[in-house]
Amino acid sequence: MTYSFQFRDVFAAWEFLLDGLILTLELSVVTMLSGLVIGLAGSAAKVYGPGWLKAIVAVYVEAIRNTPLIVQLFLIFFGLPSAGIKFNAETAAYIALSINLGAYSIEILRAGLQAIPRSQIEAGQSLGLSGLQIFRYVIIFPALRLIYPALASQFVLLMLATSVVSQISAQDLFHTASIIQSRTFRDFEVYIVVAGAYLLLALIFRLMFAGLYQLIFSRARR
Amino acid sequence: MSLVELRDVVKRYGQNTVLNGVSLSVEKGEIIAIIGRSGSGKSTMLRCINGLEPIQGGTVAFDGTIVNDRATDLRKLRQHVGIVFQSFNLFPHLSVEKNITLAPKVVKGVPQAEARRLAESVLQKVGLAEKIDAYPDQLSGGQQQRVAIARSLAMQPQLMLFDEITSALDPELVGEVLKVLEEMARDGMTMMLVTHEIGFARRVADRVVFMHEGRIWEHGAAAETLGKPRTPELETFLNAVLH
Repeated sequence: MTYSFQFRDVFAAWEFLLDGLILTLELSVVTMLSGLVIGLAGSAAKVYGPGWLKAIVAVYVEAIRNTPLIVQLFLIFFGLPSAGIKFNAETAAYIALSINLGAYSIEILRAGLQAIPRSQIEAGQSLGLSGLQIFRYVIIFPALRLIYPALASQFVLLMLATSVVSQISAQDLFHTASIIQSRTFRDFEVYIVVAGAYLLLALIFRLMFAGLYQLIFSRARR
Repeated sequence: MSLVELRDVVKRYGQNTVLNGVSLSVEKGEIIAIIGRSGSGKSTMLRCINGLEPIQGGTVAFDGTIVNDRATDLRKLRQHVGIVFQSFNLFPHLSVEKNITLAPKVVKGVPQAEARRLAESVLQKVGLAEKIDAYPDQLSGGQQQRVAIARSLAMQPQLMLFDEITSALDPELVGEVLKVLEEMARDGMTMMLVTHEIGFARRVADRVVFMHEGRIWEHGAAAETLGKPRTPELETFLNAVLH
């Protein structure tokens, strides 16, 4: 069995691939930000909120964490139009990914919030701080530091998972790869290149998260 | 009017009655030592005074304000009542300065420069002026506890509550913390302290309150109460802690 690799046709389409890569990056970064916001609000609601709010958040988190991302994506892109709610592929991708990452972020952040000892909250209360001030100045920083590795890891997983949006024809890295494949029939070469691109992206994100940790949580910056 | 007034205070955790009709008045400038076995309700009583523990019966009043009234703004009240805990409870991610200035800045709106001066002055009082930029985990237990005292002082409270503040310290670090308390006593601060330091209570406190089974079992002038206990329970307790 011999196979001669032939990357020329694949690399000829580099601009097309780059477009896909850029959408993958945009999807990842925007979703990480919205996922963080959903995670902060949702975990605070789940830990400190009234019972009915806790219940709503719990239903959301469990519904999302126990169904496949691709099903969620299809529900939004192919299902909702039946109810008169239509999105283009990219918008549907942003929404589905944010909802998905938000649920995982809530669970991770919840663990961080619950790890903060009750005595820290009491110290804040005793100084006359409001609940919101305690959350902002006393709780959130140590909580984030505790769960940072788990959250960063979830964010990288999300970046890799963005590839499912190709299934609704959003023009991400994986989708462009599929198109190049259908034009060149160089399956092996295309997917090697794409795998390399995802690997590189993942490594860049991990490096960036490690740097961000140093920047935010290290005392050296004092 | 007394600064602190507890009347028939009842506190239960489920079926377990922790305070069973506690009444006590504390005047401005008084120093009250609260002693008793663990589980006797002394910490709980202290924590009722700034509303950290909700109560099931009776009233707690501070400076004429009913603490256990739903309408009472506890945040406002707590600005006047400092509390120091056994486990220090400093904020680990904040420097000593920020631990101290956080509440003055965000609760009272004190500007940064003034807050820094405030931190310097309260640290001076506890003898830790040089530690202003340190972080809690760079300090010994005794130093952390003195920072916690300074943090409370920065709010300029009318009353200070101390909840077994030397119990978590190595024996050789207890003295430096008690010395700070003695200086505060000389400055005329009203203080209520739950303590196992009987010698300190005798020396510094005006009155001693002995708690037993959720009640104030015996109380009176410090030297007299500790010197001539009237109840066998206090006598047993004193024998146990002094030997």
